[in-house]
Amino acid sequence: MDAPDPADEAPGDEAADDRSLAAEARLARLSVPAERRAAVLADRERILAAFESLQAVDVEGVEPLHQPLVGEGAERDTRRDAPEASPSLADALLARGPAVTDDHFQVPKTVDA
Amino acid sequence: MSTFATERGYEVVVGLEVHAQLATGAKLFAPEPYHFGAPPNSLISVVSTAQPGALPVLDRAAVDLALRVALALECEIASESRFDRKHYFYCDLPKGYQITQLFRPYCSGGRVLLADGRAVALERIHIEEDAGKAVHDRGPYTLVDLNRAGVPLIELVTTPTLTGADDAVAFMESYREVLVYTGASDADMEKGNLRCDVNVSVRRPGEALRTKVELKNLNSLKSVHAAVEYEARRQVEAYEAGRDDQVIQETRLFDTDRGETRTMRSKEDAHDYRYMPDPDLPPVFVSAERVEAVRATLPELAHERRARYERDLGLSAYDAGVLTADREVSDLFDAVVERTGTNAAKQAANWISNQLLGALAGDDIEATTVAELPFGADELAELVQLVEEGTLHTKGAREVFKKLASEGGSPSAWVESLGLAAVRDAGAVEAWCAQAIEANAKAADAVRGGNEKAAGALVGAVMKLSEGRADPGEVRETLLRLLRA
Amino acid sequence: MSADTNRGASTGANLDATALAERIRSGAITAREVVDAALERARADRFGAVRSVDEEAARRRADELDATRATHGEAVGPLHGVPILLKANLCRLGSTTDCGSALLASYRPPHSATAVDRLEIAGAVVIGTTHMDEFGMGSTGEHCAFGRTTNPRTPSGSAPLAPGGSSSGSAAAVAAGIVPIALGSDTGGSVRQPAAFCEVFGHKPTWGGVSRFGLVAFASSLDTVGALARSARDLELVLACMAGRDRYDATTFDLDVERRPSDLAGVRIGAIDARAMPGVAEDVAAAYASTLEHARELGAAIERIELPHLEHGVPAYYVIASAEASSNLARYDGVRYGARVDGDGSLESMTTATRDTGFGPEVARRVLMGTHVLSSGFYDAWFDRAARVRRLVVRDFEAAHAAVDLVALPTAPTPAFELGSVRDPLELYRGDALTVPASLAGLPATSLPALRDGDGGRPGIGVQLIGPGGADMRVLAAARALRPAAVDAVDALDASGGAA
Repeated sequence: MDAPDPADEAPGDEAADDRSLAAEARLARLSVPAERRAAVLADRERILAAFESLQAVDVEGVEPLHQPLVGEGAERDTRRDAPEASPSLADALLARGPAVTDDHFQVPKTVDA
Repeated sequence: MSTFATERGYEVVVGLEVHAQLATGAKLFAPEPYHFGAPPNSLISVVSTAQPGALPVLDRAAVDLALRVALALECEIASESRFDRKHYFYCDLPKGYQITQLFRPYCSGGRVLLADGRAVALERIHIEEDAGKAVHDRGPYTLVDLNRAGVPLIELVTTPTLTGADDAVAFMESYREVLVYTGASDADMEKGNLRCDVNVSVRRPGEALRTKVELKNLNSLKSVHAAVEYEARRQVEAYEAGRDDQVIQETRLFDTDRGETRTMRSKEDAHDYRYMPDPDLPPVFVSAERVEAVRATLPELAHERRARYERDLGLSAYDAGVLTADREVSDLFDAVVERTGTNAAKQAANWISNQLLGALAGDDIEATTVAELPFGADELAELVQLVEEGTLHTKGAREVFKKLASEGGSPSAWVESLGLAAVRDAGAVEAWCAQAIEANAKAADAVRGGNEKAAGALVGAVMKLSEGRADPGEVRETLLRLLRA
Repeated sequence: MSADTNRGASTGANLDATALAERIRSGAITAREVVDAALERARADRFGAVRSVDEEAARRRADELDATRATHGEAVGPLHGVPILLKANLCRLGSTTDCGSALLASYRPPHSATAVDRLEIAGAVVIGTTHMDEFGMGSTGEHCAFGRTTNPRTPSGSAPLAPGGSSSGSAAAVAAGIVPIALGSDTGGSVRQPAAFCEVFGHKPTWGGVSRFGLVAFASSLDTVGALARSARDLELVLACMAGRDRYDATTFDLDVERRPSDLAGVRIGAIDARAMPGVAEDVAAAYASTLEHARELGAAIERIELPHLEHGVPAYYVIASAEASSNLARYDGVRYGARVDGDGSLESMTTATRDTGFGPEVARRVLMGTHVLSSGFYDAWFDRAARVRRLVVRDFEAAHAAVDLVALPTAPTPAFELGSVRDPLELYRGDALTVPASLAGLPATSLPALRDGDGGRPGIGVQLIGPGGADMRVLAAARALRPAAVDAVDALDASGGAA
């Protein structure tokens, strides 16, 4: 499928797309500098346009599949053993922190509890 | 009870969102144990710190406890439910998402019965995991402790059918009772294993719902009450002053010191949580058999016991309330009555409400809970029976009780070793009465003169002489007979 | 040279793992000798396959194994002394698991992946890690933060061919004969496609058949731990050692690992009309046809089947995989591990700076895409819809497997192409068109080097056999029937001028 022709977009659509990309980038904690936004948007639009064929598939009455479990409906055993504490593991995990203070993971200060 | 809002003709609409930690002693999806007050970052694992390659595995014990609550609240249990991921970034949320249940929670429907009998319908209950703890007051940085990360919670959301601060508190008290009675949670707000957020809006009766405001940081029932009252007042004042713009859908924090609610400084953007079914967790299957098995182990709930105490045992609502405030106490009472028979119920209730609870609260004995007492239902029932059959009178019984509470043992053994058996010998009683009459001529004359009330002093004197071992009723009869003679 | 060749030949340069393990078990050679030789070959790696090597630990382990065998007279397990490499997204206590990403460049996990543990318990000696596309996202090896890998099957004198991805280094290391077995991961083809490009064998197990605990997650409902080897029987051996229920992964089940007879007589194989498929190269279609012909000669019945939703596989896959990736990569926030980068003083900017710096462009692209398709307003039209189409793909296979025992597809639409020649992400995604269906359906799939008519032609063409859920060993047995012998390692060929 061809990429949508920018000339076909209604005025204001670009601004809305830009805002939504900015919002999504924020949700994903990734920055998309202003000068790159148009390119990133175009790139994504192109990919989504190529995937547009998904919209035409008849999915009437078809439930979504989120896990290809063999023998769907089969009960997996979720019982676990008694809880096991591991102080040495706890130490090892804390030691991997990029910044550790008073046995806590330290991060820049956040306002508002 | 009228409040600022109601006096001005407004209804205060309240909805609650309550999180209760399930007392499994373990995390919901991670292998380590959990208890309150452990050293920071000592109860963590690969899973709860979201290391690369970590996977969640469900602890069925948490599901069992959650089922107990759902059944106690008359919910319908889903035979198949699922877990979903709720995404947002915060330093106390290791995976960058919380595992919760949005699309298919483990139960639906349900209601909580308030003390006055009103039923509050529930919007939803579901199972989810807790986040860790971020502390901001230890320096120019924020510190994160992940001990609490992954602890199992049930989140309960009410329909917005509560009205006012009193209702909010009443709801919390009733719900808390259910959580404790079913053993699902310690539900202690001070320890943070019961937390609530409140949604408050005001309106004139009959109107559609107006804008609601969410209140957070409510650490006690007192705060809940104060926050609702403050916020209701704030909203009413805003509307009355034509300042509708001051009531926006937002989250406000309750400032315990000032008793006010205030806007959160950091503007929370409208969160898009991008819920997604969690592919790492298979569906949770709960069979009808399992539901019945859990139901069979449910204890009688507090409000059911209170009704029974009043109806079948003739206790007052007040006494029933005292007995059921603590499940262990109520269990003890039931066990005692089972042994003594229902005729002694009132007596048993008295012993427990007064002597026992008083002893636990006081400093004279070590025990502070029923479980810590060095005696149990057998001994207490025996004591009650000794009094019922007249072997022990009040004063003697109290002394035996004191011994039981501090040292244990058995009532009959104490009665013997302390020589507290009631005196039934009519001759001895008569002798004491004669002695008392002689020693208290004035009172004796008063009685002879028609003032029966004055006999009280004489009864007291006899009780003293007998060291409490005489039966007061018998003493009084004997005195009157002697004095009339 | 001759002595080196002989030693190389006898120490595993061209033996498959099964043969090598047998020699060690029989005492003909020690684990230490084998591991030393592998370490030497790893040092001499000219394809950029190997990311890191831990010589000391490997030698120590080999010595332990030799000592155990000397004391007890028997091997500790079926892989006793076999040197293996791990794709850099498989956690191992004592190793650096960088996932091809700058963000995890120095990350040393405090845990080992269950699959790795089980192979080590079976006696395998991990000698190091291999290069990969970052976090599993890529199909050429070019998205690795630490260097690129080239395809050992590149004809001499030609510009380097792509090894495929994302298990680029694992496939290249096996093809080069550095080790007989390398573990990889397959989410949308990441074991099978590089297996095809590097002309080795690769198996993607049934989803849930091998534990994912310790595999750094990319797309949870699609990720699998797979192996690469130069023979089908090696893949059977490895699968038997690592498969099965794991209490640390709730989605696992006890996969049947009983070896099946490799007899194609009466086996029904379903085939599609590859020539009619858009994007399939002429020589791929030809190689596919000749492989099927070979199967027919061995007694198989080839039947035409349809997979009506095949064309929707790539869109459905990329929507779901991106969404799950955006979710699984949310933990990389600089708080508890990894390379933290300071921002402007706020928590949010620290996390953003950490991710901006740590993630490569393809990862960032997919995380953004995934965030988009999960956001309210787009969830129904994209993620939910893709999940429904996914169920239709499952049904396609169910129908096919009701009519035939195995489905055969080319592994990739093109042979191995020149490294760097395909830049367009869409074109690269389309290269997964034939591998993503089995991923979406969670089915077992093995890629074997195609059996072509005559020599010559472009290298790097594989054929895929796909079975119903749980039928891994039947699939592998069929692959073994088609190609019973191990394929040669590149350097062994170069060194000895023929098979060892």
